[in-house]
Amino acid sequence: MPQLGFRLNLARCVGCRACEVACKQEQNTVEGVRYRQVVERQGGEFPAPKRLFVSIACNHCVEPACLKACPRGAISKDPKWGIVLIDQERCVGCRYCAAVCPYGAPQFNPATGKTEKCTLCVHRVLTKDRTALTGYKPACVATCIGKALEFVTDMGEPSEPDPSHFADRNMTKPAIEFQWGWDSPW
Amino acid sequence: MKTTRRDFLKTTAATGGALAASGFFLGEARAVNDEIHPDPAYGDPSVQTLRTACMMCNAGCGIQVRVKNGKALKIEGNPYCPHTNDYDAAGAEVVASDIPDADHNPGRICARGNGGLGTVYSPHRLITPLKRVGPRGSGRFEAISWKDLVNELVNGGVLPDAFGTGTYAFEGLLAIRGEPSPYGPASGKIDASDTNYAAEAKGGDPANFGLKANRYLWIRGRDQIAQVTKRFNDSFGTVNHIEHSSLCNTAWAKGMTHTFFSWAGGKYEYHRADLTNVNYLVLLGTNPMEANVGTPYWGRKLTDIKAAGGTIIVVDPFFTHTAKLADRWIPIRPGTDMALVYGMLRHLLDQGKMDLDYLRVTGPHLLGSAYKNWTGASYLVRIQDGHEEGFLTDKDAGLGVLTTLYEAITDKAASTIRVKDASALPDKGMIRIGGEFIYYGGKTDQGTHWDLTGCKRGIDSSAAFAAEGAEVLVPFVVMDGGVPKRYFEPTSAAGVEPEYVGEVNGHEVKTAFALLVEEAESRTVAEWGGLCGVPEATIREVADGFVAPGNRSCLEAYRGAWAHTNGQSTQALINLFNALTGRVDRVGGYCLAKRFGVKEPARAVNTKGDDSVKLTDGVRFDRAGKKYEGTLPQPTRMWYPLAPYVSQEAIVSAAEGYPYRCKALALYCYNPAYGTPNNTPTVRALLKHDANGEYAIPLVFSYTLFLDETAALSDYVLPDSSYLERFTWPFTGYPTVKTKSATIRRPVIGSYRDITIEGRPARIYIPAHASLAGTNFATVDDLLAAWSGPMPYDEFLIQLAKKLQLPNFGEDVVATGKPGQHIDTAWQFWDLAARAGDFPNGLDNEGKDGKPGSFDTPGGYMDLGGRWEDPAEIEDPASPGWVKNRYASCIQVFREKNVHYKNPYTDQAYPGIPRWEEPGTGIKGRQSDYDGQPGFTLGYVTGKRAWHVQSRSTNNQWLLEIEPENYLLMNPADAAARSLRTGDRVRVSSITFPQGVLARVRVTQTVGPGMTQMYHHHGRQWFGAVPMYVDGTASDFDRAIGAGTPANVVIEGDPDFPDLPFTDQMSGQAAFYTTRVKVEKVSAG
Repeated sequence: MPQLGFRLNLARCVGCRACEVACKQEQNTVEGVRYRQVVERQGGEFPAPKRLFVSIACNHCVEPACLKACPRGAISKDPKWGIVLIDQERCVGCRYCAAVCPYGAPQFNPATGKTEKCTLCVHRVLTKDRTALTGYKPACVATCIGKALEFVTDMGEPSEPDPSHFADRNMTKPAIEFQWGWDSPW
Repeated sequence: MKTTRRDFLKTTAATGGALAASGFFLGEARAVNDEIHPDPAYGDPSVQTLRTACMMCNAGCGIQVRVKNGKALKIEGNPYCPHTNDYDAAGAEVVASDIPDADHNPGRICARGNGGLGTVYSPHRLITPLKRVGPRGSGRFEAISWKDLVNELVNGGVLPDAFGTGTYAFEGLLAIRGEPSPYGPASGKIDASDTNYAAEAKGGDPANFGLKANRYLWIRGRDQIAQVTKRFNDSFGTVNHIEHSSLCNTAWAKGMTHTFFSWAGGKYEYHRADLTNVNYLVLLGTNPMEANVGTPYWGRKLTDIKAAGGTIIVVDPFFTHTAKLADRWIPIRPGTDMALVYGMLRHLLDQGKMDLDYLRVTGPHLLGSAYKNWTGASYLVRIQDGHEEGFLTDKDAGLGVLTTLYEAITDKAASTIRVKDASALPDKGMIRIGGEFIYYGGKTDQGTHWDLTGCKRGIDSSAAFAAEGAEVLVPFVVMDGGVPKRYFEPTSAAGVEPEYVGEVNGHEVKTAFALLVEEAESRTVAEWGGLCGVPEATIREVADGFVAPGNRSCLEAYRGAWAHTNGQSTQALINLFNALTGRVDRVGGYCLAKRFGVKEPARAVNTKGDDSVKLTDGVRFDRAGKKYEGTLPQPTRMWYPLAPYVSQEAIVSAAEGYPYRCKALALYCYNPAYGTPNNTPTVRALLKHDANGEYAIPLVFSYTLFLDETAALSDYVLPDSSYLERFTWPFTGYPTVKTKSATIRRPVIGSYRDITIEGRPARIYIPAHASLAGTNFATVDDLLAAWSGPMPYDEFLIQLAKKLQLPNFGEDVVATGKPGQHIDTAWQFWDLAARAGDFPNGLDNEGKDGKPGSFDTPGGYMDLGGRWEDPAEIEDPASPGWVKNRYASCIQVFREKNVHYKNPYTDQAYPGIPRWEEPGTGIKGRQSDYDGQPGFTLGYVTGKRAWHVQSRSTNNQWLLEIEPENYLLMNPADAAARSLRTGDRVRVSSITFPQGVLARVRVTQTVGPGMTQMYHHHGRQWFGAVPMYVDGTASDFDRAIGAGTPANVVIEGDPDFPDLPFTDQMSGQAAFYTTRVKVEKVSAG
């Protein structure tokens, strides 16, 4: 089974937020609901400060905690592609999924009273019957001005370290990997 | 499986007379069935993909918009536009097949661009014209029809006074224009009744302030339809066509003028780094990952430079998003970039690392195969009493005068000049007649005389008349083997002396390069480093790296480096550093950009070369481009003879009636009440009134998308259409792209209609949120009466021009020899303009069926959204190492025009080469005086966010929610000294604004000790943050828009002209990075 996911080159991410807004636009999320967010971390000391931008959304985990936590069976993981989705008709907005997700991916929509999240742009990347890849990219990846964020169609084990404070991979096996480019991991 | 989808774009129809004051839709949020495919591009055949140009900032990146049933649903990058995508075209010019499946393989655009629909469909947009019913700033308006509005603007009307108790009558534009003949030029000169400052006019005659029509002052912010706005203002007769550029980049533009005024091109050329090929890039005061122009282009290029192992050095007081990407961050004292570059130059001179052979090339005849351009480094400059007087001519040098005028020059635009004998002149080159530098492109022996043909007039000088027999001089002389020679006379570069200092024919002379070297050597590298706060070793390392073999190097600067009182000189020096190290026209060097363009349709009445018919004449409210020649020894306010615009002067001067009284102020997409550094005086100027309550500027009208802070102080507010509902032909982008390019802006939503107006057929564009009742309009009034909702500004100007009976609009005005060509609508204007330029089919059949985009020729410029050369072919295949599109002209080191003018208060002449001057120097030469005002110890600068643009995006909910407010960024040491922690509330004040503003602190290592920074965009007073009242009904509003701190308020004013920000008196550039603030804790966060 190919696991779809994301690869983020942390050296190339310049914190521009194009991905965040492309996602808002693509998914028409309501005010306050942000499927993808860029987290900034600062470190070092003047005159050698450091900044790190981490663009992050749902990691479509191999072992999603949200799925296990959902009392309504609203969360599924696509058996062919590994995309994790919340069925809006079954969701009752209890937010258990948000409580257990190590990455803050599920977002409560006060307008609908339900929880929603990144769909990995399933409508773009898969054919309508979801049997094949279309070759198109998620909106966030398509717009990334630093070519930092990539769409991975066959996620393997990451070869480079996660940023410090990133949740332990063993908890959910997130389908995201990080690269550091010309930067050193920190 | 169901995902979520909200019908964001649900629109409340705006039809007929039942218009709400604002609000196109409610942000209705509801989950819908995923059977409606979320992105309409995928699988819905009724969705159109139309390509146009973004305007969320001013870079003009290409976008492609998904449109369904007249609604824009998604904006992505246009993959054909090199701003948003890198690719290799098969041919010389881009064609459709260069991008397979372009609709689904978009280019990359930034957060602002992605957020466009939030602006286009904002609930805060204005949809009906408004007239003030309370005092200015009361927020109380009434809806007014376009017809009544235009008639009041034209004929005058009555407005409530400043007390809200009475009214006053104001003059309309027709009367302001003087006594023009219908469809003719304006007439009537300003007289004593118009001014209290007649003594400051040339010779004390107020008529020298120009036409009465000048009492109409027009200022724009983002004007991307200059072909129409300039035509209107010229035809109206006002010289007061003022651009906001001095708040933007006049120091950059004038720095470019200094060095890169092309002889054969007859105009100056912007130069920027070739980002595709540079591998050693020094960024001075620019943060293109957040600000600058064209973030998507910069984002790809800078990350690619780093991925390929290149070096990026960021010189900036702040550790910006760009610095995060860089190999090296060099914090610098604001306003001292000139010192850093002089330090680098000094180092290279000391080390003998300058290529003097290049500086010995005195003209095109010596280029050989080694060089593609040359410098004026060796040109001799006359010096008298320590002052630079100008270039030494052949006559000055005692070389004689080669020829004289055979015939007087009576036309300032004449391209053929007749001289007695040009046999001794080169086939093409530069001559000087009086104060005018003229380039000629050819010479022909006519027997009785010679014709100099293909002349470019006024090369960085003023085109002028000249009498028969006037001397035709050669303007540049060099020393060659100890002998002065005309610049074209040395037969080899070997003997030319670029560092000559001495005497020629009784004149003390120095080469331009010697002047520069003198300045560079006036301080040691360590001393230059001391001025800018950069260690000597760092300066030497950066300079060594710059000239290291194998490095394709470039300095690239933007606002942080030159938005200072020494700005023009700083940018000129940066240009010169790139030039003298041989980086101009080089692959990976400092290169110009070429564009495809349009031409303004011909004018029936024009002034070009004809002084008997003056469309415009006189002195502007900003006194830009004018030398003070009044009868008082010093003017009341500053004059700026070298500056193109000083927009920060215009409104405060107009309210003072200086130099004459302003009767009407029109603002287009311009919000100075928020956006001007030290903006409070502009607000006061708009509110200034006399004892009777009549405002000093009696009529103010704003054309805008939103009720911004300036519109709120206006008498009439006119709703513009959005960037998806207008033409801009072309939007050419900033010169980052090195291949010839043009992006087209065309409506992608809205409709067209074929109408008749005054009996003539025309096609007209109607924006998405407007409506037009009927098809036949006997008069302009009938058309205006039938129009509801926003009107594109170009359409408004054309209709207003016809109401005013201005020349160059309406029936048969296009003097093409083709009667029947009319400018009755904006559609007609752009069709003619495109056809006259590089777009031979004009708008073609656009709009024939009433809809945008139905008849785009597949693969044509409308379909692709522009015209581009192959973006991958930057290098000239015939000249490896050189770019294909080259400047290939003279790079001037010394600028004579500067030294012809002096500051009327200090009597100091402006320098002909960049000279060190401490930043924050006021117009009268004084620095801010902090004596007796303790506590103003922290530096303060403003900056932009990657997802906002100046003042135009704060009410875009998608963008606002990324960061709900701004902060005062402080170093931990400064915070600790004030017992401050992140989130604490502080008062930030300056000596100009001692009452201060409230802000929240964020403690960060990205700011050095002694400095603070505040991002722009926030703390809005209007712009949807509070309701306005239209006919007594409150508009939609959102307090979140007002959160945070307005960053401009505390910026220091000039010590002697406190109603201005500090200003570079040469370029007019507003300087806003040298403020010092006091930060006091108000409460814990």
